[in-house]
Amino acid sequence: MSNNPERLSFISGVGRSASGRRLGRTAMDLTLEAALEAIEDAGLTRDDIDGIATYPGGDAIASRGFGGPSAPQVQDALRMDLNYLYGAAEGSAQLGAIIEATMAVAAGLAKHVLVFRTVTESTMQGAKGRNPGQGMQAATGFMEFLAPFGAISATNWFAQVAQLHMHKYGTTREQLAQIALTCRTNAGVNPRAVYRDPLTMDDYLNARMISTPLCLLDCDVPVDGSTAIIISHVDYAKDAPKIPVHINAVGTAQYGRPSWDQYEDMTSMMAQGAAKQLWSRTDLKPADVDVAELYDGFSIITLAWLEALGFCEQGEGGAFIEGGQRIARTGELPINTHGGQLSEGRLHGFGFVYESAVQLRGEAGERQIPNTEVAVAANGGGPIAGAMLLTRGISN
Amino acid sequence: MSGKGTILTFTVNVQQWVPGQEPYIIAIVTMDEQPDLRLTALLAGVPLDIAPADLIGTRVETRFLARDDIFYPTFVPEGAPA
Repeated sequence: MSNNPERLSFISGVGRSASGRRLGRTAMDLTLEAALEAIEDAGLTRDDIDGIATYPGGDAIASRGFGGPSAPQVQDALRMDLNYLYGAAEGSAQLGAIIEATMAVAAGLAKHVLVFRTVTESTMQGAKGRNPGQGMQAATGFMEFLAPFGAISATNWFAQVAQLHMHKYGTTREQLAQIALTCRTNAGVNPRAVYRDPLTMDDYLNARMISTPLCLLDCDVPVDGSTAIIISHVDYAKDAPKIPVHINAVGTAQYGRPSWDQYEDMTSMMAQGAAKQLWSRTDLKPADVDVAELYDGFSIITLAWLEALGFCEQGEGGAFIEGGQRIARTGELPINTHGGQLSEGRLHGFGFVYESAVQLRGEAGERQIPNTEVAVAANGGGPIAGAMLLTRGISN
Repeated sequence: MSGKGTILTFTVNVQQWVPGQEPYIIAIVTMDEQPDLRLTALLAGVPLDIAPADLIGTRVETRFLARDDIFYPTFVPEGAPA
Protein backbone atom coordinates (compact mmCIF):
# COMPACT_ATOMS: atom_id res chain seq x y z
CA MET A 1 0.00 0.00 0.00
CA SER A 2 3.01 2.29 0.22
CA ASN A 3 2.44 3.50 -3.32
CA ASN A 4 -0.61 5.54 -2.30
CA PRO A 5 0.04 8.90 -3.94
CA GLU A 6 -1.22 10.71 -0.84
CA ARG A 7 1.92 9.47 0.96
CA LEU A 8 4.00 11.76 -1.25
CA SER A 9 2.47 14.64 0.73
CA PHE A 10 2.50 15.65 4.36
CA ILE A 11 1.25 18.40 6.62
CA SER A 12 4.22 20.68 7.19
CA GLY A 13 2.43 23.51 8.94
CA VAL A 14 -0.80 24.46 10.66
CA GLY A 15 -2.18 27.80 11.73
CA ARG A 16 -5.34 29.39 12.97
CA SER A 17 -6.70 32.82 13.59
CA ALA A 18 -8.44 34.02 16.68
CA SER A 19 -11.77 32.24 16.90
CA GLY A 20 -14.91 32.97 18.82
CA ARG A 21 -18.36 34.46 18.85
CA ARG A 22 -19.01 37.63 16.83
CA LEU A 23 -15.45 38.80 16.42
CA GLY A 24 -16.61 41.41 13.93
CA ARG A 25 -13.54 40.90 11.75
CA THR A 26 -13.61 40.30 8.02
CA ALA A 27 -13.16 36.84 6.54
CA MET A 28 -10.01 37.98 4.72
CA ASP A 29 -8.50 39.38 7.91
CA LEU A 30 -9.03 36.07 9.73
CA THR A 31 -7.81 34.08 6.73
CA LEU A 32 -4.53 35.96 6.45
CA GLU A 33 -3.89 35.61 10.18
CA ALA A 34 -4.28 31.83 9.94
CA ALA A 35 -2.39 31.55 6.63
CA LEU A 36 0.66 33.51 7.77
CA GLU A 37 0.83 31.51 11.00
CA ALA A 38 0.68 28.22 9.07
CA ILE A 39 3.35 29.32 6.59
CA GLU A 40 5.67 30.28 9.42
CA ASP A 41 4.88 27.06 11.28
CA ALA A 42 5.96 25.13 8.18
CA GLY A 43 9.29 26.97 8.13
CA LEU A 44 8.38 28.63 4.84
CA THR A 45 7.82 32.13 3.51
CA ARG A 46 4.97 33.26 1.33
CA ASP A 47 7.30 33.06 -1.67
CA ASP A 48 7.59 29.31 -1.10
CA ILE A 49 3.82 28.80 -1.36
CA ASP A 50 2.89 27.89 -4.93
CA GLY A 51 -0.64 26.64 -4.46
CA ILE A 52 -3.85 27.61 -2.64
CA ALA A 53 -6.90 25.45 -2.02
CA THR A 54 -10.05 26.17 -0.04
CA TYR A 55 -13.51 24.95 0.84
CA PRO A 56 -16.10 26.01 -0.23
CA GLY A 57 -14.62 28.65 -2.52
CA GLY A 58 -16.73 31.36 -4.04
CA ASP A 59 -17.83 34.61 -2.49
CA ALA A 60 -17.58 35.14 1.25
CA ILE A 61 -20.32 37.74 1.52
CA ALA A 62 -22.90 35.84 -0.53
CA SER A 63 -22.35 32.78 1.66
CA ARG A 64 -23.54 34.60 4.82
CA GLY A 65 -20.36 33.66 6.61
CA PHE A 66 -20.34 29.99 5.61
CA GLY A 67 -17.31 30.51 3.41
CA GLY A 68 -14.23 32.72 3.41
CA PRO A 69 -12.46 34.44 0.54
CA SER A 70 -11.85 32.59 -2.69
CA ALA A 71 -8.43 31.15 -3.52
CA PRO A 72 -7.69 33.91 -6.09
CA GLN A 73 -8.66 36.60 -3.56
CA VAL A 74 -6.07 35.24 -1.13
CA GLN A 75 -3.54 34.90 -3.95
CA ASP A 76 -4.07 38.57 -4.70
CA ALA A 77 -3.94 39.67 -1.07
CA LEU A 78 -0.59 37.92 -0.63
CA ARG A 79 0.66 38.88 -4.13
CA MET A 80 1.57 35.33 -5.04
CA ASP A 81 2.44 33.51 -8.24
CA LEU A 82 0.77 30.13 -8.05
CA ASN A 83 1.09 26.84 -9.88
CA TYR A 84 -2.19 25.51 -8.52
CA LEU A 85 -5.55 26.83 -7.28
CA TYR A 86 -8.64 24.99 -6.08
CA GLY A 87 -11.91 26.01 -4.48
CA ALA A 88 -15.05 23.89 -4.39
CA ALA A 89 -17.79 22.60 -2.15
CA GLU A 90 -18.57 19.41 -4.04
CA GLY A 91 -15.54 17.36 -2.98
CA SER A 92 -15.18 14.98 -0.06
CA ALA A 93 -16.86 17.29 2.41
CA GLN A 94 -14.66 20.08 3.79
CA LEU A 95 -11.67 17.73 3.63
CA GLY A 96 -12.01 17.77 -0.15
CA ALA A 97 -9.84 20.88 -0.33
CA ILE A 98 -7.07 19.28 1.75
CA ILE A 99 -7.23 16.03 -0.19
CA GLU A 100 -7.14 17.88 -3.52
CA ALA A 101 -4.06 19.77 -2.34
CA THR A 102 -2.50 16.48 -1.24
CA MET A 103 -3.00 14.97 -4.67
CA ALA A 104 -1.84 18.14 -6.47
CA VAL A 105 1.44 18.01 -4.55
CA ALA A 106 1.76 14.29 -5.22
CA ALA A 107 1.20 14.93 -8.93
CA GLY A 108 3.91 17.58 -8.99
CA LEU A 109 1.60 20.49 -9.72
CA ALA A 110 2.81 22.36 -6.65
CA LYS A 111 5.37 21.99 -3.86
CA HIS A 112 3.66 23.78 -0.96
CA VAL A 113 -0.09 24.36 -0.95
CA LEU A 114 -1.83 26.65 1.52
CA VAL A 115 -5.25 25.19 2.32
CA PHE A 116 -7.69 27.24 4.36
CA ARG A 117 -11.24 27.22 5.66
CA THR A 118 -12.74 30.42 7.03
CA VAL A 119 -16.10 31.01 8.68
CA THR A 120 -17.73 34.20 9.91
CA GLU A 121 -21.11 32.66 10.63
CA SER A 122 -21.33 34.07 14.12
CA THR A 123 -20.86 37.67 13.05
CA MET A 124 -22.95 37.30 9.88
CA GLN A 125 -25.85 35.66 11.69
CA GLY A 126 -25.74 38.32 14.38
CA ALA A 127 -28.24 38.44 17.18
CA LYS A 128 -30.86 36.59 15.12
CA GLY A 129 -28.92 33.34 15.41
CA ARG A 130 -29.25 30.57 12.88
CA ASN A 131 -32.53 31.49 11.33
CA PRO A 132 -33.25 29.77 8.05
CA GLY A 133 -36.90 30.86 8.15
CA GLN A 134 -36.34 34.47 7.17
CA GLY A 135 -38.48 35.58 4.28
CA MET A 136 -40.01 33.66 1.39
CA GLN A 137 -37.85 32.51 -1.46
CA ALA A 138 -37.89 29.63 -3.90
CA ALA A 139 -36.19 26.52 -2.55
CA THR A 140 -33.55 25.25 -4.95
CA GLY A 141 -30.94 22.52 -5.14
CA PHE A 142 -31.03 19.95 -2.36
CA MET A 143 -33.48 22.13 -0.41
CA GLU A 144 -36.11 21.72 -3.11
CA PHE A 145 -37.74 18.70 -1.48
CA LEU A 146 -36.97 19.61 2.13
CA ALA A 147 -37.58 23.26 2.97
CA PRO A 148 -41.08 23.63 1.49
CA PHE A 149 -42.16 20.63 3.57
CA GLY A 150 -41.11 21.93 6.96
CA ALA A 151 -37.63 20.39 7.08
CA ILE A 152 -35.93 23.76 6.95
CA SER A 153 -32.94 23.17 9.22
CA ALA A 154 -30.11 20.65 9.18
CA THR A 155 -31.23 19.89 12.74
CA ASN A 156 -34.46 18.46 11.29
CA TRP A 157 -32.59 16.28 8.81
CA PHE A 158 -30.14 14.86 11.35
CA ALA A 159 -32.86 14.52 14.01
CA GLN A 160 -34.62 11.98 11.82
CA VAL A 161 -31.41 9.95 11.53
CA ALA A 162 -31.01 10.02 15.31
CA GLN A 163 -34.67 9.10 15.81
CA LEU A 164 -34.39 6.04 13.56
CA HIS A 165 -31.07 5.01 15.15
CA MET A 166 -32.73 5.11 18.56
CA HIS A 167 -35.81 3.25 17.35
CA LYS A 168 -33.96 0.51 15.48
CA TYR A 169 -31.01 -0.06 17.81
CA GLY A 170 -32.26 1.13 21.19
CA THR A 171 -29.79 3.99 21.35
CA THR A 172 -30.72 6.37 24.17
CA ARG A 173 -30.42 10.10 24.71
CA GLU A 174 -28.22 9.35 27.71
CA GLN A 175 -25.83 7.52 25.40
CA LEU A 176 -25.86 10.21 22.72
CA ALA A 177 -25.23 12.79 25.44
CA GLN A 178 -21.73 11.38 25.88
CA ILE A 179 -20.63 13.06 22.63
CA ALA A 180 -21.57 16.49 23.97
CA LEU A 181 -20.31 15.79 27.50
CA THR A 182 -16.97 14.44 26.25
CA CYS A 183 -16.47 17.43 23.98
CA ARG A 184 -17.22 19.81 26.85
CA THR A 185 -14.80 18.05 29.18
CA ASN A 186 -12.08 18.30 26.53
CA ALA A 187 -12.88 21.94 25.82
CA GLY A 188 -12.31 22.61 29.51
CA VAL A 189 -8.58 22.20 28.90
CA ASN A 190 -8.54 24.01 25.56
CA PRO A 191 -8.01 27.74 26.09
CA ARG A 192 -9.39 28.46 22.59
CA ALA A 193 -12.72 26.76 23.14
CA VAL A 194 -15.88 28.86 23.22
CA TYR A 195 -17.73 26.77 25.83
CA ARG A 196 -15.51 25.55 28.67
CA ASP A 197 -17.82 25.34 31.69
CA PRO A 198 -18.46 21.78 32.87
CA LEU A 199 -21.60 20.09 31.59
CA THR A 200 -23.59 17.43 33.43
CA MET A 201 -26.01 14.77 32.24
CA ASP A 202 -28.81 16.76 33.90
CA ASP A 203 -27.77 19.86 31.93
CA TYR A 204 -28.02 17.80 28.75
CA LEU A 205 -31.34 16.15 29.52
CA ASN A 206 -32.87 19.49 30.55
CA ALA A 207 -31.53 21.47 27.60
CA ARG A 208 -33.99 23.08 25.23
CA MET A 209 -35.24 20.69 22.55
CA ILE A 210 -34.58 21.84 18.97
CA SER A 211 -35.93 18.96 16.91
CA THR A 212 -36.59 15.67 18.70
CA PRO A 213 -34.50 13.84 19.76
CA LEU A 214 -31.78 16.50 19.29
CA CYS A 215 -31.49 19.26 21.89
CA LEU A 216 -29.48 22.46 21.86
CA LEU A 217 -26.39 20.66 23.19
CA ASP A 218 -26.43 18.25 20.22
CA CYS A 219 -25.84 21.21 17.88
CA ASP A 220 -22.48 22.87 17.28
CA VAL A 221 -21.83 26.52 18.02
CA PRO A 222 -21.25 28.95 15.12
CA VAL A 223 -18.08 30.99 15.44
CA ASP A 224 -15.82 33.22 13.41
CA GLY A 225 -12.38 31.88 12.64
CA SER A 226 -9.97 30.56 10.06
CA THR A 227 -7.86 27.41 9.96
CA ALA A 228 -4.91 26.94 7.60
CA ILE A 229 -2.96 23.81 6.70
CA ILE A 230 0.21 23.66 4.60
CA ILE A 231 0.51 20.55 2.42
CA SER A 232 4.09 19.94 1.23
CA HIS A 233 5.93 17.26 -0.73
CA VAL A 234 7.68 14.64 1.43
CA ASP A 235 11.00 15.77 -0.06
CA TYR A 236 10.66 18.78 2.25
CA ALA A 237 10.09 16.70 5.41
CA LYS A 238 13.77 16.52 6.38
CA ASP A 239 14.03 20.33 6.29
CA ALA A 240 10.71 21.12 7.94
CA PRO A 241 11.09 22.50 11.48
CA LYS A 242 8.19 20.59 13.01
CA ILE A 243 7.44 16.87 13.27
CA PRO A 244 5.95 15.86 9.91
CA VAL A 245 2.32 14.77 9.92
CA HIS A 246 2.10 12.15 7.21
CA ILE A 247 -0.98 11.47 5.13
CA ASN A 248 -1.28 7.69 5.30
CA ALA A 249 -4.59 7.30 3.48
CA VAL A 250 -7.63 9.25 2.37
CA GLY A 251 -11.26 8.30 1.91
CA THR A 252 -13.20 10.19 -0.73
CA ALA A 253 -15.86 7.67 -1.77
CA GLN A 254 -19.54 8.53 -1.88
CA TYR A 255 -21.64 5.36 -2.26
CA GLY A 256 -25.40 5.31 -2.51
CA ARG A 257 -27.79 8.17 -3.11
CA PRO A 258 -26.31 11.55 -2.13
CA SER A 259 -29.46 12.73 -0.41
CA TRP A 260 -30.71 13.78 3.02
CA ASP A 261 -33.74 11.48 2.89
CA GLN A 262 -33.14 8.90 0.13
CA TYR A 263 -29.90 7.34 1.47
CA GLU A 264 -30.66 3.65 1.82
CA ASP A 265 -29.66 3.16 5.47
CA MET A 266 -31.12 6.19 7.22
CA THR A 267 -29.46 5.18 10.51
CA SER A 268 -26.17 6.06 8.84
CA MET A 269 -24.63 8.43 6.32
CA MET A 270 -22.20 8.77 3.43
CA ALA A 271 -19.49 8.26 6.04
CA GLN A 272 -19.83 4.54 5.29
CA GLY A 273 -18.35 4.82 1.80
CA ALA A 274 -15.53 7.21 2.69
CA ALA A 275 -14.55 5.05 5.66
CA LYS A 276 -14.59 1.86 3.60
CA GLN A 277 -12.29 3.39 1.01
CA LEU A 278 -9.99 4.83 3.68
CA TRP A 279 -9.30 1.40 5.18
CA SER A 280 -8.86 -0.13 1.73
CA ARG A 281 -5.85 2.15 1.21
CA THR A 282 -3.85 1.26 4.31
CA ASP A 283 -2.54 -1.65 6.35
CA LEU A 284 -3.46 0.22 9.52
CA LYS A 285 -6.62 -0.90 11.32
CA PRO A 286 -9.16 0.89 13.50
CA ALA A 287 -7.42 -0.61 16.55
CA ASP A 288 -4.25 1.30 15.56
CA VAL A 289 -5.95 4.69 15.89
CA ASP A 290 -4.84 6.67 18.94
CA VAL A 291 -7.16 9.67 18.57
CA ALA A 292 -10.29 10.14 16.48
CA GLU A 293 -11.29 13.66 15.50
CA LEU A 294 -14.78 13.11 14.14
CA TYR A 295 -17.08 15.77 12.75
CA ASP A 296 -19.74 16.87 15.21
CA GLY A 297 -21.86 19.50 13.53
CA PHE A 298 -24.49 17.43 15.33
CA SER A 299 -23.70 14.75 17.90
CA ILE A 300 -25.34 12.00 15.84
CA ILE A 301 -22.77 12.57 13.07
CA THR A 302 -19.94 11.59 15.40
CA LEU A 303 -21.83 8.43 16.32
CA ALA A 304 -22.27 7.64 12.61
CA TRP A 305 -18.52 8.08 12.02
CA LEU A 306 -17.61 5.82 14.95
CA GLU A 307 -19.73 3.10 13.38
CA ALA A 308 -18.71 3.77 9.76
CA LEU A 309 -15.01 3.73 10.62
CA GLY A 310 -15.43 0.35 12.26
CA PHE A 311 -14.65 1.30 15.86
CA CYS A 312 -17.86 -0.59 16.59
CA GLU A 313 -20.51 -2.36 14.53
CA GLN A 314 -23.33 -0.49 12.83
CA GLY A 315 -25.98 0.19 15.46
CA GLU A 316 -23.66 -0.39 18.41
CA GLY A 317 -22.45 3.21 18.69
CA GLY A 318 -24.72 3.94 21.62
CA ALA A 319 -23.35 1.07 23.67
CA PHE A 320 -19.82 1.95 22.55
CA ILE A 321 -19.99 5.45 24.05
CA GLU A 322 -22.14 4.48 27.05
CA GLY A 323 -20.82 6.18 30.17
CA GLY A 324 -18.24 8.08 28.13
CA GLN A 325 -15.16 6.34 29.56
CA ARG A 326 -14.09 4.74 26.28
CA ILE A 327 -14.05 8.02 24.33
CA ALA A 328 -12.58 10.17 27.13
CA ARG A 329 -9.02 11.48 26.93
CA THR A 330 -8.02 8.66 29.26
CA GLY A 331 -10.03 6.05 27.34
CA GLU A 332 -9.09 3.59 24.62
CA LEU A 333 -10.31 5.90 21.85
CA PRO A 334 -10.20 9.59 22.76
CA ILE A 335 -12.44 11.63 20.46
CA ASN A 336 -12.60 15.33 19.65
CA THR A 337 -9.81 16.11 22.05
CA HIS A 338 -10.13 19.88 21.46
CA GLY A 339 -13.82 19.94 22.31
CA GLY A 340 -15.12 19.52 18.78
CA GLN A 341 -17.42 21.98 17.12
CA LEU A 342 -19.92 21.35 19.90
CA SER A 343 -17.73 23.15 22.44
CA GLU A 344 -14.62 24.59 20.77
CA GLY A 345 -16.63 26.11 17.96
CA ARG A 346 -17.74 25.45 14.43
CA LEU A 347 -14.56 25.98 12.43
CA HIS A 348 -16.35 23.61 10.08
CA GLY A 349 -14.22 20.59 9.44
CA PHE A 350 -10.67 21.91 9.40
CA GLY A 351 -10.55 22.11 13.20
CA PHE A 352 -10.41 18.30 13.28
CA VAL A 353 -7.36 18.24 11.01
CA TYR A 354 -5.67 20.99 12.98
CA GLU A 355 -6.25 19.09 16.22
CA SER A 356 -5.02 15.82 14.65
CA ALA A 357 -1.77 17.52 13.64
CA VAL A 358 -1.29 19.12 17.03
CA GLN A 359 -1.88 15.80 18.81
CA LEU A 360 0.47 13.88 16.49
CA ARG A 361 3.22 16.46 17.05
CA GLY A 362 2.72 16.34 20.80
CA GLU A 363 1.89 20.04 20.98
CA ALA A 364 -1.57 19.80 22.56
CA GLY A 365 -0.50 20.89 26.03
CA GLU A 366 -2.87 19.99 28.84
CA ARG A 367 -5.13 18.01 26.51
CA GLN A 368 -2.29 16.02 24.88
CA ILE A 369 -2.95 12.29 24.47
CA PRO A 370 0.37 10.57 25.27
CA ASN A 371 2.16 8.63 22.52
CA THR A 372 -0.19 9.61 19.71
CA GLU A 373 1.07 7.94 16.53
CA VAL A 374 -2.09 7.57 14.43
CA ALA A 375 -5.05 9.93 14.12
CA VAL A 376 -8.15 9.81 11.99
CA ALA A 377 -9.88 13.03 10.93
CA ALA A 378 -13.35 12.83 9.44
CA ASN A 379 -15.54 15.55 7.99
CA GLY A 380 -19.07 15.80 6.80
CA GLY A 381 -22.46 14.42 7.70
CA GLY A 382 -25.52 13.34 5.78
CA PRO A 383 -24.76 13.07 2.05
CA ILE A 384 -21.18 14.37 2.23
CA ALA A 385 -18.12 12.70 3.71
CA GLY A 386 -14.34 12.63 3.66
CA ALA A 387 -11.72 11.06 5.90
CA MET A 388 -7.95 11.15 6.38
CA LEU A 389 -5.65 8.83 8.29
CA LEU A 390 -2.65 10.73 9.62
CA THR A 391 0.55 9.49 11.26
CA ARG A 392 3.36 11.00 13.27
CA GLY A 393 6.44 11.12 11.03
CA ILE A 394 6.95 9.90 7.49
CA SER A 395 5.97 6.23 7.42
CA ASN A 396 7.10 4.96 4.03
CA MET B 1 -49.75 6.97 -7.11
CA SER B 2 -52.11 6.20 -4.26
CA GLY B 3 -50.52 8.78 -1.97
CA LYS B 4 -50.21 6.10 0.69
CA GLY B 5 -47.10 5.05 2.51
CA THR B 6 -45.37 4.20 5.78
CA ILE B 7 -43.48 6.40 8.22
CA LEU B 8 -39.76 5.57 8.17
CA THR B 9 -38.71 8.18 10.73
CA PHE B 10 -39.79 11.58 12.01
CA THR B 11 -38.95 14.53 14.21
CA VAL B 12 -40.95 17.05 16.21
CA ASN B 13 -39.56 20.46 15.36
CA VAL B 14 -39.67 22.59 18.49
CA GLN B 15 -37.31 25.43 17.60
CA GLN B 16 -39.13 28.59 16.49
CA TRP B 17 -37.44 29.35 13.16
CA VAL B 18 -40.06 32.07 12.79
CA PRO B 19 -41.16 33.88 15.97
CA GLY B 20 -44.31 32.37 17.46
CA GLN B 21 -44.10 29.19 15.39
CA GLU B 22 -45.83 26.20 17.01
CA PRO B 23 -44.11 22.79 17.20
CA TYR B 24 -44.82 20.52 14.25
CA ILE B 25 -43.98 17.02 13.03
CA ILE B 26 -41.88 16.28 9.96
CA ALA B 27 -41.78 12.70 8.69
CA ILE B 28 -39.94 10.75 6.03
CA VAL B 29 -42.53 8.54 4.34
CA THR B 30 -41.80 5.49 2.21
CA MET B 31 -44.29 5.38 -0.66
CA ASP B 32 -46.24 2.17 -1.35
CA GLU B 33 -45.58 2.01 -5.08
CA GLN B 34 -41.82 2.37 -4.82
CA PRO B 35 -40.20 1.35 -1.53
CA ASP B 36 -36.97 3.26 -2.24
CA LEU B 37 -38.87 6.50 -2.92
CA ARG B 38 -39.36 8.65 0.15
CA LEU B 39 -41.03 11.98 0.76
CA THR B 40 -40.17 14.39 3.53
CA ALA B 41 -43.39 16.11 4.55
CA LEU B 42 -45.44 17.58 7.38
CA LEU B 43 -47.48 15.11 9.41
CA ALA B 44 -50.80 16.12 10.97
CA GLY B 45 -53.42 14.32 13.05
CA VAL B 46 -50.90 12.92 15.53
CA PRO B 47 -50.18 14.16 19.08
CA LEU B 48 -46.81 15.88 19.41
CA ASP B 49 -45.83 13.71 22.37
CA ILE B 50 -46.46 10.40 20.62
CA ALA B 51 -43.87 7.73 21.41
CA PRO B 52 -41.54 7.05 18.48
CA ALA B 53 -42.36 3.34 18.63
CA ASP B 54 -46.04 4.21 18.13
CA LEU B 55 -45.40 6.40 15.09
CA ILE B 56 -42.56 4.77 13.13
CA GLY B 57 -44.15 2.22 10.81
CA THR B 58 -47.56 3.93 10.90
CA ARG B 59 -49.56 3.86 7.68
CA VAL B 60 -50.30 7.32 6.29
CA GLU B 61 -52.07 8.96 3.36
CA THR B 62 -51.68 12.27 1.58
CA ARG B 63 -53.61 15.46 2.31
CA PHE B 64 -52.81 18.47 0.19
CA LEU B 65 -52.31 21.72 2.03
CA ALA B 66 -53.05 24.90 0.09
CA ARG B 67 -50.89 27.88 0.99
CA ASP B 68 -50.22 30.93 -1.18
CA ASP B 69 -51.67 29.16 -4.25
CA ILE B 70 -49.26 26.26 -3.80
CA PHE B 71 -50.48 22.77 -2.90
CA TYR B 72 -48.09 20.96 -0.57
CA PRO B 73 -48.39 17.23 0.04
CA THR B 74 -48.68 16.45 3.74
CA PHE B 75 -49.55 13.23 5.51
CA VAL B 76 -52.13 12.08 8.05
CA PRO B 77 -52.69 8.60 9.51
CA GLU B 78 -54.52 6.38 7.02
CA GLY B 79 -58.28 6.79 7.34
CA ALA B 80 -58.08 10.01 9.36
CA PRO B 81 -61.18 12.21 8.98
CA ALA B 82 -60.92 14.80 6.21
